Amino acid sequence: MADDFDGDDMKGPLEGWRESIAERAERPDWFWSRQHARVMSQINAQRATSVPKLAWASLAATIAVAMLLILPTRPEKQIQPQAKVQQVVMSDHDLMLAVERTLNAGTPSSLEPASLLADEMNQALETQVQSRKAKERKYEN
Amino acid sequence: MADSMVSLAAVQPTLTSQVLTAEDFDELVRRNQKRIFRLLMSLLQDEDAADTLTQECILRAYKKRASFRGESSVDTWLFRIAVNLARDYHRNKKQGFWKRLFADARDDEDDLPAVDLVADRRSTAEVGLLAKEEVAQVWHTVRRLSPNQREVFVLRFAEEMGLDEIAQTLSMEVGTVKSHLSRALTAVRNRLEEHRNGR
Repeated sequence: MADDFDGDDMKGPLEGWRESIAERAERPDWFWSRQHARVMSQINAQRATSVPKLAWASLAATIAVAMLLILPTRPEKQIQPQAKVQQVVMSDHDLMLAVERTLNAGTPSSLEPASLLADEMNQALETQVQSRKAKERKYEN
Repeated sequence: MADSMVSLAAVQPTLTSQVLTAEDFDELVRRNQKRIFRLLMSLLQDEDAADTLTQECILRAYKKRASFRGESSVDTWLFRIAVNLARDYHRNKKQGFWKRLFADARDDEDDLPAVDLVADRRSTAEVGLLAKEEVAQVWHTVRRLSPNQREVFVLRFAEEMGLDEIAQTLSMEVGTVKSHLSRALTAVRNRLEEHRNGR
């Protein structure tokens, strides 16, 4: 301490004064324990009010991360291989031969019922025409 | 005196705002509650108020822990909060509190509890009636100092702080601290001389 601010000339009274303060501030241990408990309970109460906010925020963040990790990634749309159109390159001569072969082969099996029906219709029609002609001749006579 | 000097020197907190947690405050309360209480007792001379404001001081520090930048020690920071609380208390309770104190002092100036405690203890041994009366005169003068002079005087002679630490605690220039301290000492010295001269 610098001499000017020590109050050396008043050392006795100043020490007595300081000791009187210490005496007045002296308290039993239970007083300090109670004070400590009160302060810490208030601090903990403040913490408790701030914890839910943090908890909610962290919970939301955790859920978001979990969703990203757990949810299966969407399967990529599989592109079906397109049926390849086989291009058969044929010469004009070959094409003409294929047409002729098809015509000579007659009715394809898949069209046989239709051709049968058509034949029956033609026969019925011919029968009808012949009977009409016979009637006409009869009237003419 | 030695105890408080040791405790102040031994505990040089290196805490910064990043590490001031509720757990840190548990230790801070244990380490500082007696000193803060004593400081507030010196400034307020009201046991209940000192108890309440000691708790409020720690609680306020906890609430404002983010603003602690570590420019001063945690202890100095806590003392600053305590002094500010004492100022607020004086501002709010000025009328009733000081009137009551002054009335008590007028009724029986020597019958001060603090002085009695000291006198009771010391008069049995090495200190006589004169010492008791002189301590009473110091109390009498301290009550009549301006708030700034009283704060500087208490921090210097009750808490045995250095001038730099007082300046930090009170957010003052060292020169201003010296000025207040010089005036406070002059006031106490004059009062004691008057008393010794039988006035």
